Amino acid sequence: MYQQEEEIIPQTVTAEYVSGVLNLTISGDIDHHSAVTLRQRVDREIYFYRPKIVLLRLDRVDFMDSAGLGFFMGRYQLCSALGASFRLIDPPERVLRILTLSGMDKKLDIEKIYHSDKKEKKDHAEASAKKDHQPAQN
Amino acid sequence: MPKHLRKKIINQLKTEFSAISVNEGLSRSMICAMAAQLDISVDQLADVRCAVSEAVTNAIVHGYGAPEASDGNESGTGKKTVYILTTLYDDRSIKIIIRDRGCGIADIPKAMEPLYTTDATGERSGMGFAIMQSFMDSVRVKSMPGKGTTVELKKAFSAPSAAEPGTPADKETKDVSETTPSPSDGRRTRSGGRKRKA
Repeated sequence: MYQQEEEIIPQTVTAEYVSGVLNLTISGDIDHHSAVTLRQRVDREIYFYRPKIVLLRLDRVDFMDSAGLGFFMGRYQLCSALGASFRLIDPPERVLRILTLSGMDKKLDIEKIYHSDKKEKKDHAEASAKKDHQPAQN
Repeated sequence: MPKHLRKKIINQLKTEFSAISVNEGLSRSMICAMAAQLDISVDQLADVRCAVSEAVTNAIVHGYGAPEASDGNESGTGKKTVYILTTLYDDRSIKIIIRDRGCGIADIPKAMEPLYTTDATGERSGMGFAIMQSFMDSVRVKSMPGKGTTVELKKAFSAPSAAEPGTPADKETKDVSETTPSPSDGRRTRSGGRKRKA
């Protein structure tokens, strides 16, 4: 539906809506510059679908600074105002660090799917996920 | 400090760019390319990257008061410039000075307080300086209202860890394998051959 627009902007948000659950995947950097575009796109999806649950997938985020915290905070408030629950899915270790630093990990609902160690990189998690998939296919 | 103990500069980069938000990514990449010369880990690089991003964002957003993300289309961006001086030292330390000629900060301690923000819409966290402080060794802020702000970030990295491609260990094993099969040709073929297979 919005795919043509997404290709133009490197900052991508893909939205998937299934029975009350809005699944948003963010990729690229989250900084002060990209937060403006992200905010518009994410809010548009939330206002359009009016979901019960908003899931924000972060495993493809390369970089995030304090602007990302503000971005999450604003979305959390919007979701609360609309009566939806807001959850962060799979933040990379670095994003998680900033969330912990600000104490926002206690306020926001964070779910980690890859139970990776601190030292384990995102790539490793992906690689192991692929390995897990292969035997199942065979 | 005696001259021979003073740390030497191994590389220096002086940059200035328009105070527009699209340049935040640029400044991050630039600092990354410089800091990578110190042969530091990916995580250490990410810390520096994040701290610099915070400082540059502060200069653009607060120093020059850019209200929203801009691509340089607005008038007068030419006069608004952010200056960065990055210096690498031979003791594996980095110093980054980020300077703007913007509005300045009246109350520096208050501005550096975690969760303090001038933003009322709830879209900003007020964690900029807190992140800089936790990711860098030292953060120094000098500011004059109306004149601008200078942020000095410093970080020293310890020697590369043993887990990284250790040349001394490799050399030792090589030396052993070369010297042990010396006594006679027969012994070398028997023991040396087996050892290599194992």
